[in-house]
Amino acid sequence: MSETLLTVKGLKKRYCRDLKRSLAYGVEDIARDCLGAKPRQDLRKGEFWANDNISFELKRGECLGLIGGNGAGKSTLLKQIAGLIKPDAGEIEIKGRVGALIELGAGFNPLLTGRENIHINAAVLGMGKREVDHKLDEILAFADIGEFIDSPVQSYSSGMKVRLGFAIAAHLEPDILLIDEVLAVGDAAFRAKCYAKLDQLRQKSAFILVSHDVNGIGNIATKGLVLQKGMQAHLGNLEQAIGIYKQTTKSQSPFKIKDHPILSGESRISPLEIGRGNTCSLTLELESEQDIETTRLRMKFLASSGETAAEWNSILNDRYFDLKRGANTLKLEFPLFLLPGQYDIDLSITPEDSAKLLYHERSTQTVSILGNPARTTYYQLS
Amino acid sequence: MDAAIRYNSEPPIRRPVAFAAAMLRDLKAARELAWRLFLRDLKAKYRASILGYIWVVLPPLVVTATFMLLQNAKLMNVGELPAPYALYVLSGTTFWQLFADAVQGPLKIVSQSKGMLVKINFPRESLIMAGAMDALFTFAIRFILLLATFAYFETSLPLHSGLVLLPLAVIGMLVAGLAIGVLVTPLGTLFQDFSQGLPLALSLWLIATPIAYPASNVSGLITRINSLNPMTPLIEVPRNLLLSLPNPSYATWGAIIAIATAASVAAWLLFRISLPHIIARIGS
Repeated sequence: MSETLLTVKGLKKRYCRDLKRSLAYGVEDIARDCLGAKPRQDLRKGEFWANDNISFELKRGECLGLIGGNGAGKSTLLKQIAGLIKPDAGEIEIKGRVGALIELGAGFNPLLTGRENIHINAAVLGMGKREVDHKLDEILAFADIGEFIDSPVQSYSSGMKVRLGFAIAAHLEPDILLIDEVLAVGDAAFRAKCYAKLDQLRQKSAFILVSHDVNGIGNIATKGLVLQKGMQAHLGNLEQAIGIYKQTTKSQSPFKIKDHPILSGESRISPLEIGRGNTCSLTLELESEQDIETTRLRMKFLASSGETAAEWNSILNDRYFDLKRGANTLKLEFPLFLLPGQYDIDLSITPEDSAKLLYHERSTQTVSILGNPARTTYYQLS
Repeated sequence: MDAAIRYNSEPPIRRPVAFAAAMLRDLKAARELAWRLFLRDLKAKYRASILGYIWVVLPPLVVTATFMLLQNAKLMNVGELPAPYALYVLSGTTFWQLFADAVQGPLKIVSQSKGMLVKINFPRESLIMAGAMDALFTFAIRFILLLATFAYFETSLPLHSGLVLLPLAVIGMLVAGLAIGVLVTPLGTLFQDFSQGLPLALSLWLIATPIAYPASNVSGLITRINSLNPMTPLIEVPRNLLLSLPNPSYATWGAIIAIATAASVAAWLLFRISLPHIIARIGS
């Protein structure tokens, strides 16, 4: 059971940020390939390494958690393993069938019914007609979208599309499964079902799982790979990988309010890592151009799924703020009873007499609730 | 367990045997998928339209009507004709539309499937094949319309041994169109100029081909253009077969189809080599 299914050696891929130039380089690459010339090993003007010297191995039964911020090169790596794009250097060796959940339901035709789309999507993913017929009942049962199965897909909610897409892809039974952030949509119960299914699939396959939800990864991954600006920052122990990733996200700047007609300044949340039930504080340093009385403040903690996990709200807490012209300091303190995990923060300021937001922003900064995430988040109740 | 798959930076044509084997393997794997994609697009194509499949026969009818109007208003003098004008033009446009569909089809279907191409690894030949099936299906319906027109003019389609060449004329037309269509697809996917320019080029080309007029009845510049235009034999042979007219040269016609076949294989090679680069550039 421990044969190596995937070997990646010294993998490199470059991209270009400028569109026109990128297209011209594309034409050059095609021409070189047609003429049989070796690809260039240097960077052309405006290019950068999206993957720079990535090497790892994956055995059957293993799950690699691929962790990194936006633009770290995670999707680029997956696309090369899926055979969608070509490495610029290095090599990938694959044994067996690769299934990629890079986007669920890619290739769905919105005008056709869910049932019609199952056959097409399965064929695109590489299932034969007999295989689909054989697994159809299982797929329908897993998707569990009731009578909608005979309605056109354009009438589906995004959650329903993901249900159907995952149900098809999960029944592919690949040897290597690549999963890219696809489980962020869908309700909690369905996500739990997906994780349970993945756990079951893992016995026979090797996985690569990409997610911003490092705790979700913690539940299923057996080792971690951290990418930073295309480079391999860490490979191996999962806890260490998560630790390194959190180090990098912690340094992100707090809310900066600028280019706003009335307000300027910044807000700080501290601490950014707290134990469950401990107190968290928000400090707002605001420079206002005018007096605004009884301002409402709202601060939401968003789970990785996008759902609001906790909220501090002027109305609920019956606490309003009077902004004076000039410098203001607002301070809030509240205990956070949240499950261990990472939460994004959504902050908005509204004047009392108006429904119009004065300021609204979703932070790139995250608050981590510490604690052992292992096996606490996802349960299948059935 | 199958042999390992390897992805690296090496140009695929450096291993021609492995490359050709992969092409044939994908071609085989693409057939079933192509059929499904064709049915998918066929079912969905007119589902949100009132006229439905009537849209299939409208393009050749509109082109024919346009030329009839021009001729009727004496804006165009086509001289003596061996058949009713409507029948003459419709025979030509029915075949021309097959060519035009085959030219525009690959770029259209590849652009429509961008979302799939950048997310899923599947035999991409299936897209081209589905497009070709669609062009053939559309042609079949239009051909029935053409036969109905023959019946209307009570010039029953004369049966003669030359008609056995008709299937070859259809395939030759399709292959010629696909060769051009697949050849422009890589650049056309990267640069929008091609999807803008193709319909324009085709409408000019339509005039430069003896469809609304017999090549023998015109003179001057258009005669020179006709004689250099590879589409001239490709249109004349099937039309003259249908109208029982003498055909000028089967040799030129056969040579053009042979060249088109070679060109379509070259286009297929280019398509395969360029796809990973295109997917990298068109991104998410």
